[in-house]
Amino acid sequence: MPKQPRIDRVNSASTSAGLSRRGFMAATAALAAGAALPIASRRSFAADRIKLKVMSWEQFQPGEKDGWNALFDKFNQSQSKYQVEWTGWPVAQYEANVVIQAQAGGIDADVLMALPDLAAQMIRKYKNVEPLDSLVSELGITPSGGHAYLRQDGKLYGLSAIDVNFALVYNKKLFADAGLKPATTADEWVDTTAKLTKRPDQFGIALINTIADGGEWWFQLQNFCLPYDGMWAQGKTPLANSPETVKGLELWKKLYDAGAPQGTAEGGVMKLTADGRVAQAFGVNPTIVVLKATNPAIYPNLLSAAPPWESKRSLDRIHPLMALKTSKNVDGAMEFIKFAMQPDVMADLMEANSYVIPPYDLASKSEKFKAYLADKPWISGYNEAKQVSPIDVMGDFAFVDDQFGRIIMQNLQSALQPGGKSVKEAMDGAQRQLEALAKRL
Amino acid sequence: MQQAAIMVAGVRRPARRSLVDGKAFPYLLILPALALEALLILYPIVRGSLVSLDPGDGTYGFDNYSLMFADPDFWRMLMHTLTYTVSVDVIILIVALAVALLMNWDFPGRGAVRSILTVPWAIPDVPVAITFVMMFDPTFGVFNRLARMLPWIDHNQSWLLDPNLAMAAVILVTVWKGFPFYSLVLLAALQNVPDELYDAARVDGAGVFGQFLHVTLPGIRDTIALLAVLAFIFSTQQFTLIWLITGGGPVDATTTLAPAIYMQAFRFFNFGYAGAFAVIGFLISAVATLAFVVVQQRLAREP
Repeated sequence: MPKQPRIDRVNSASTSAGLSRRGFMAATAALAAGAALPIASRRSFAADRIKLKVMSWEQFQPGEKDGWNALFDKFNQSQSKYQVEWTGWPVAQYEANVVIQAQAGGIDADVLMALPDLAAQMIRKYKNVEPLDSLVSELGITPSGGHAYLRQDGKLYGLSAIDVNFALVYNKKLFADAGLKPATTADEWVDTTAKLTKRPDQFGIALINTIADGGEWWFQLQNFCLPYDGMWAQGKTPLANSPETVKGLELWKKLYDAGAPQGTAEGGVMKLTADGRVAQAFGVNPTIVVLKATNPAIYPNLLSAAPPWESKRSLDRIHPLMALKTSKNVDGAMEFIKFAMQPDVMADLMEANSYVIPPYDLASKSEKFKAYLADKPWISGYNEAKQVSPIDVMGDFAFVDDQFGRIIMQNLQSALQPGGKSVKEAMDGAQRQLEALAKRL
Repeated sequence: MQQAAIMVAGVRRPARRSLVDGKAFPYLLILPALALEALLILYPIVRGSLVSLDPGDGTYGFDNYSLMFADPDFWRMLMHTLTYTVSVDVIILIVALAVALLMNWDFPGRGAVRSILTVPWAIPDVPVAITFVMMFDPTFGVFNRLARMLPWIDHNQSWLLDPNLAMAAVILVTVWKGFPFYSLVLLAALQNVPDELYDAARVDGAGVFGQFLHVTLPGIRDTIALLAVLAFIFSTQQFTLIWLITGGGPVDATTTLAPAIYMQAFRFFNFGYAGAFAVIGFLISAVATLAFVVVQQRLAREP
């Protein structure tokens, strides 16, 4: 008698006398094996892949992490060799932790997303990143002008993942009510700010001005060497008391006196702006996204204008993706960056995260992105602004950007006190401190 | 067999007794605590001190200390630290003692009032700082609303933009946040002062002030001394409130040791220089503790 198939035996046992203990065990084992096999094979498939670590702060950013997670998923599904995953810290601790790892001899990642001054340190000080020119050629793209600071000896070491630049954001309703147009010169700017100020109900301009918000204040104030074509430093020589920089800071002080909410914390300033009680702000493009999130009703009233000075130059902060030399998977790191830069992938990321400044001329390569931009009337001022990287105006102090900013802000505060120093005297003090700092660079 | 067991027990018993009853036993009991102290306190202090000797090139020397002592910012920061610490120390103890004396009186609802008084201490530093920043706002803050009620104040004060007012503001917030702890400890001490002493003082003709001076104060002086040292050490280490309220500004008017160490280490990455600051902070706390021990011993010797 031929042996019955095992499954029939199990069936006959179950039909004749119910499920025996042995039969139950066998069936359970078979079911468990059947269920476990695909998981095991998936696990072994995942385990077979090479893990790529992307070090960033974006996984902690509300409103941005979803877009990046979607990009990661797409990459992981697109090929079978690599599996990309996050590593890193929230932005407040990010730079310090990356620098500590770099100082200790190596960054524990394959791809690094960097803030501008951190990127400059990686390229010029630690020299631990790979050139990406081959990727640029393969993709056939021309990186935006803001990438200049990521070049060294003719090679490009990073490609923009996030790019934010400064322009004048204004509330068109408040301007229309006052019969005013956005300023195009520094003098006009002070004038319109004064006319739009009715303290304490309305303020002409949102300027961060407390040292408790030092990071945000310096982020904005750093632009004020540009109205009169100055720089903060050249090489190891600080230029805090140069005539151009002093005039720029005098302009800041005039705006502060004319119409800023003095002594109000950054959160308060943003709330006032979102509530339609501040007429203009000198801010980066995500400012509009934040204002929209705080008060959706304000969004239709927001427009941008070019920086109100002749050169229209303002700081452009590219946060690049970089492939780390110390990675065991440099090819994988390159593969990931190349994937992220593909027009469709980048267009999806920009739309998901409300980014508006692409790493290259994305509108000419992606209809989707073109349509997305057409829906953003407020970007014209940002597009008119001429890109300057913070590194271009900071000289060798780019590596101690925070300390430099602190010295400038502390001294400038002494010019904001009633009966205090002049801006020139305050900057003479800053210059002395910066010269001492230069000796320690 | 039985004999053998008795012999073994007889041999072992003295050994166990020497371990349990001997001089080594107390040391054995504190050994785990000492080991933890060594690992978590002593080792970081030694490592921190070594870091302070490294000017950044892996060598050891006193460059960071030379730089620090020649730096006028360091001396200014030290003055701010002393101003802040001594002010907090004195004001918090006066306020805490006053509140403890009030709470020591018997009145209806005393339990509820005591509970409410602990609220500032129970709230975390961050919401306290954020709330006070809003209250100090020159345009919208409630402090200016209150100040403008005074007939001689005709304009809004820039509390956190004026160097003197900013220091006063952080002292005020620190005192508000910390006084319940000191009050509760003093209240416990007050309740341990025997009533018979007050009765005797009254019989001797002492008034309320006399009783306070000759009975209450001597009865709680050990507690006051301990709290003074604790307040000194806590305020030397205060970081969160100062950093969140003023960021050490305006200019550097409220930069004390803790924010200065943080800035040097984690904003400017001068770990060696920050280490030198930290050693000074440690020495200040150590001197305060030593002073407490000396004062306590003197007080203990007094009748």
